[in-house]
Amino acid sequence: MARNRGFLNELDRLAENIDRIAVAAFSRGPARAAEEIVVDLQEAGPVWSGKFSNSWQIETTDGRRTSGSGSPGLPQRIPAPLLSGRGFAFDDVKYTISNFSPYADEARDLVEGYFIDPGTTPLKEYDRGTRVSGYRGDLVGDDEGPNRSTAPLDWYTTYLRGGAIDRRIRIQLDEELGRIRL
Amino acid sequence: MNYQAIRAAVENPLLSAFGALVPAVPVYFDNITAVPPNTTTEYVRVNVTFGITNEPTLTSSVDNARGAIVIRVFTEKGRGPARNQTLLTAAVNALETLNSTAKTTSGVFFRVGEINGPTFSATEEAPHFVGRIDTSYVATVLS
Repeated sequence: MARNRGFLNELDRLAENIDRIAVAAFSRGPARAAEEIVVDLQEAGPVWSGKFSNSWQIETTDGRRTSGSGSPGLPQRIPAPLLSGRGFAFDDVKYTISNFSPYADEARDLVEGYFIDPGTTPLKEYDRGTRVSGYRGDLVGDDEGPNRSTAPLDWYTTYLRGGAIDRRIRIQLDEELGRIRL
Repeated sequence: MNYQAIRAAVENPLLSAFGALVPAVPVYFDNITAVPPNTTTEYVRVNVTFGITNEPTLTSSVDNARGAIVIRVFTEKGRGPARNQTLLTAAVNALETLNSTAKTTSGVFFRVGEINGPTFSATEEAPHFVGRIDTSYVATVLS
């Protein structure tokens, strides 16, 4: 009888451990994925002064938010907020990544813009060419022309639609689940 | 991996679709320098990009690529969206045709995902009204 009670206690502890570790993994996994997605976007996107790439922000469904500084300089990592217990009550999107730069849509080649070369050297390598339309990355020419671009046309759509974001989420979730030891 | 075959699989139907319109509408693909900067005539710009190539699959005998297709339609500004939407419809129809193509034993098997848009924009500086759609694709080289 006493042996049975001990075994049941062990089972209870194991169940508690599974709950605790699973919640931690499912909270940390998406948070790490969100952080790494921002790093990917900073690497893939344009970096001239650095203001745009330091303007990404990560927000959870329950309203917690961490933001970049919006300041010039090399892109800085943003720690993602962890979901609170309340965050798990929502059955929809858990993390939202957005960019609060006033010219975020132009930088992502979603709309046309009006671009003036500031004459400074961008923080990232650039291509030179002639801008055909009003889209930031729409340059043609073999490294000749009056315009410069630090990211290829449609870099953002390619990241979003080309499978890289799915792979990033999968890697981070696998990594967190792989850390579970019972 | 045959990137050129994948590119051709999406570019050819689009070229045919816009070529069949009366009057035919010029289509410009990546690395084509023929679009005159600040032109006021209508045209279409297609950007085919590659994302991930060869994700692990059950067999090593196929080549997979994923990527994005962005189509921008440039029409005269100040004349309403009708013409732009007509051209976008041609583009969407061409993409949907790709999805109804049967899988064969060789060539490229091409499928596009959901189509995002159209979104429209016009700026004071640029001479065009622009409609934009984008979609994802998965292409498998079968030969």
